[in-house]
Amino acid sequence: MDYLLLQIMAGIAKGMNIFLLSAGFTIIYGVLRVVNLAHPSLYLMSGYFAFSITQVLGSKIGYWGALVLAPIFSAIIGMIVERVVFRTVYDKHHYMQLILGWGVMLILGDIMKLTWGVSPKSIPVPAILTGTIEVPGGSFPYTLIFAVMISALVGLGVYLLMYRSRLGTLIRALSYDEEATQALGVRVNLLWIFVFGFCSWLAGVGGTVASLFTSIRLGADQELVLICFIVVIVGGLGSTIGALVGSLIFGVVFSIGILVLPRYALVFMYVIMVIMLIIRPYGLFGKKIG
Amino acid sequence: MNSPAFNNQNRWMIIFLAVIAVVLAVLPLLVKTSIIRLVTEVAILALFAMAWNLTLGATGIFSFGHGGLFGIGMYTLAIMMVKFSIPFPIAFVCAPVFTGLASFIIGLVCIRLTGLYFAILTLAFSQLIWSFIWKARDLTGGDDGISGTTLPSFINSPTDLYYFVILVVAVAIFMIWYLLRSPLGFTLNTLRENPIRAEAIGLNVAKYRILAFTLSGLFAGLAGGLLAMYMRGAYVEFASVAYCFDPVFICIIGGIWVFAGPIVGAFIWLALDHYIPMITEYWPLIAGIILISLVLFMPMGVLGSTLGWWRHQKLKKSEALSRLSASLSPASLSSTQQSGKEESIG
Repeated sequence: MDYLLLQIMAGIAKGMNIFLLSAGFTIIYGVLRVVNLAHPSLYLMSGYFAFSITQVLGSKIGYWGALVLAPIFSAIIGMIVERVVFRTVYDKHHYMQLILGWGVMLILGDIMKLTWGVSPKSIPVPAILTGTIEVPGGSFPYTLIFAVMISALVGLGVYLLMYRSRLGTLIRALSYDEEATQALGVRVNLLWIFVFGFCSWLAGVGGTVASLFTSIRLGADQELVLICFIVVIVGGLGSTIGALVGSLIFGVVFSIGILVLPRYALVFMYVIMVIMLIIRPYGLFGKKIG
Repeated sequence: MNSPAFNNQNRWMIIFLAVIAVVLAVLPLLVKTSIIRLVTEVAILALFAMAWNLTLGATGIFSFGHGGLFGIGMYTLAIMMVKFSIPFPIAFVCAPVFTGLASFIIGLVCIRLTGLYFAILTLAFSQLIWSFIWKARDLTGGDDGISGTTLPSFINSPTDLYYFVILVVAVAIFMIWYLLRSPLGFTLNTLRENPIRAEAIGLNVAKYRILAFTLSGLFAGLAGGLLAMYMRGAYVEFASVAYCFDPVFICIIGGIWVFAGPIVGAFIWLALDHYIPMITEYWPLIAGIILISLVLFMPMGVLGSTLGWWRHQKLKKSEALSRLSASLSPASLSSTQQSGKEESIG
């Protein structure tokens, strides 16, 4: 029973990490109406970036440098992808975006394979984060606590940005009516690029933090695509709160699932998603977007 | 106005099909067995892609779940023949029927949603099917799959299988062609073009979408059964996400809105899938680049763009001719030009 508590705590921590991934995805959809299948690829890519950066900077400041720099690289790549690929199809059928996103995912996946090779990578955990805390049921690693802290901090930052700043108001205006926002004199193009870059940065932070407790390997982006979709659909496309709730639900269900039926933990989540789509098609917090 | 162009086109099409039929018939005499096996695989894949295109190209719904349906078809045949020793004819008919049934049920559930949600929900069902196949080891052999489907007694060599597959695929494709030209086909197209208006004129959009999805699943199951024969068994990877994506890729290459698009796409895709990994290990990279280029620059696919270009050339030519004749005849310049335009579009 205690072990169950530990698992659930770990699940919540990983869920908080997934929140960074899914928040970016859902904001891009909510504001820009774009489905970016390649978003999890940026999450994975920042893990690889973090690996290289820690190699270069050494073990003292390596990870902290990576935490700062890797998400920025992810953001840059995200913005490039947006400019080159998604620009032309943002008002077309969603299926075109899906296919384009999938193409980008394939390309980024192979670029990662080219650059970093096929063997999984891992990052040396900085000294301050090694160690565990004793909880009933076992020991809970500091890295997971760190993940929760970072996600909470960044989540707070996202809230402050979106609801307490002028920029956030403009972004929300953009999600309601792009033409009207443009008519106000706002440079919508720049806003677009910013949103894409910011969301890619979020994914980057998530990936860099995740590299502390998971190995960085090829193919993770494809698994994450499914997870990301499940999370945002359960939570509601377009809603950041939904992404948070969905991620937490995912974390808990998945960790319980691993205890019960290890290979099919994901199936539980699929079932939840199917049920959710049947009884509440737009997710817990989603709203029908045009 | 009975434009002579149409009759001409019809005649060329029949000649073209006859040539294809002859080539397919004598192919085993000309090339070696490995090529025959490849062509067999192309045919099965073409049927699968054709089936999938019934959802997007014809009806405008995007299904990411055909991998699971394909797997159902494959496993139905294999399980029936290997585990229950059911004779081939029954098993072969059951593959599409069971898959059609499954897709009907899945369609009932999924059809209340559109667009992205529909795609993800179908993907979820496909993954559920895939997980079930993995898990139910007793029935499906789990990740080992089922091997050892014996081929019926009238098939004794790859060439025999080739003829059987080509025959079945040809009949199936003909059925799809006939379907798409029937009132049902045009109804589906109407749904695709403008579902709101279709609803407004009294068409039950949901019912027709479910019907399209069921038929699509039926033919996908048929393709799955054929693949079970080709592979002499059923294996779990054919129900995986890869086979959810592949028909999409194939149809994008060939052209979604052209009837023969999936066939051309299957050809090209299998050739690429077979030969590119021999040159480089970065096939996904190339696939991604091809995919993006196609969607951005050639959304009609290879066949679609070729036909479009050809029609554009014909249009230019007939327009030039009519302009020439208009400039030669002094009377009513504007009306001659107008009627010239009507003729070339028709």
